[in-house]
Amino acid sequence: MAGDAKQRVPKHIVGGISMELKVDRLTKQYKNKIAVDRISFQLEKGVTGLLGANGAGKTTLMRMICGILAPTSGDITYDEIPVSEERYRDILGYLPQDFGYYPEFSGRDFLMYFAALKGLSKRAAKTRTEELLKLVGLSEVAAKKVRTYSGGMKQRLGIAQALINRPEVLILDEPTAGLDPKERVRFRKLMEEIGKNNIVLLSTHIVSDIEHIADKVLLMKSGQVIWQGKWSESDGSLEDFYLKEFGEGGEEMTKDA
Amino acid sequence: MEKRFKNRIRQAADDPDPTAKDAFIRTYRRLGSCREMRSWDILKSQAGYIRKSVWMISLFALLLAVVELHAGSRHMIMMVSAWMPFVSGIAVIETFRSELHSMTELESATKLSIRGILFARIICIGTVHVILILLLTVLMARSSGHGYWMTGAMITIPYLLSSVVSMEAERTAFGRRNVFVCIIISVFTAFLVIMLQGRELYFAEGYREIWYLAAMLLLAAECHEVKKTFRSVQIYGR
Repeated sequence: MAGDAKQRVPKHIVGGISMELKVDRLTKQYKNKIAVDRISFQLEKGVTGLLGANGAGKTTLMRMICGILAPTSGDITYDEIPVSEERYRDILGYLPQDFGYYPEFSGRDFLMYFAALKGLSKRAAKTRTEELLKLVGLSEVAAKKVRTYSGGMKQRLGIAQALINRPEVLILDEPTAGLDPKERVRFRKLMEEIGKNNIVLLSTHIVSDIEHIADKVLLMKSGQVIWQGKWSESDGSLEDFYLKEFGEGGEEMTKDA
Repeated sequence: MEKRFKNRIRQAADDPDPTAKDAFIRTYRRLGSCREMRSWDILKSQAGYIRKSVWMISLFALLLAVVELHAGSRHMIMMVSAWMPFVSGIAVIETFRSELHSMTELESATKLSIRGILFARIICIGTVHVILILLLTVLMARSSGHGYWMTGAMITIPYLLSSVVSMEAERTAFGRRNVFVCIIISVFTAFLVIMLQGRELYFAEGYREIWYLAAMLLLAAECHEVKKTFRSVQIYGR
């Protein structure tokens, strides 16, 4: 039946979607510090891992890509749409490094709220909320207040929130923080699946988070991208590569946290 | 009948393939089937999420006026005027609650954006409060003996004073972290109102222009504060 449903969708509807996120000479300067320094790259369908030590400029870059932080100079466009436009936010999913919740919200309320902010009708929001609660394994506790959730559960809720509008561009800042090893494996599989049809940019300082799922890797240091390219298992260990390229001192990065 | 028919169809068919469903929805979104959010949608998206306490405090002001009116209390207008700073103080807390609960970044990345959310909250709460002030004025004007304009000014001034100072405070880092700042401002404003209790001379015919002028100035300050709040959100994170 599922196969039939797939066949019923016209070919031109399924295919033919171009996806290109273009970052062009992007700079962000605070008073005395250049957080992001003339970065340029393009992202297409697939998972891109953004690796870098703490303070490398990953979060600043991600905020600018989400359109919530204005760059000092440079452009970011998605299929020619500037990231400051509503049209872009319509296809954007974002999970920040730290996020809060309104104290009166249950897990279900949290997702319904973001569904409303992302322009879903009430009916569509209900269906999508239940789908996502199931996907992240929170259906059983959906009616409980978010404040009673563990760190891992909150993080899974945050991931569900980022997926609620079926984003074409998914930006995740340190998404595996607080997840236990089992949840981390499940998360990687989910990202791998989502990355097949979307642009996924995932920042981390843990090499193993992206080692096996990233189609492309961006390495950031002191606000600059110092290496970018495709990574495959035949290239060897990404962590070894990192240590070889940048020396042992860089390297607040860990194989696993 | 239609519901039963729908249920039968649902039972007869499996859930659609999630990948195909995703692709289908996404493509139609690209073809323009996903409409832009209109002002009404923006207001609707927030109206249901404004906390009950905001409405309860407004309702209490109305109840207070009705009860005092029935009791024929001499202090009716002062009681209601002293309550108004709390009505606006709670409204300011509600408007800025994204910052308080670290939701700003998440909300900024939605279709509505943080400016849209702020706009919706201010319009929803502001509209109800304008209606509230008008109702209170009409309700109390005759028995207060001050006439419509002066009664309106006596209710509006403490409301606006507390609102303007609270908004200014909420934009500071300390104010953002501490909800009680708005409450303290409301208590202080209410205290000022109570201090005027019994000093009818101040509200006499000859002084009214001063109160009207004060109300106008505070209204202008309120508009300026709202504008400043929008501007501060626009440059969020800079």
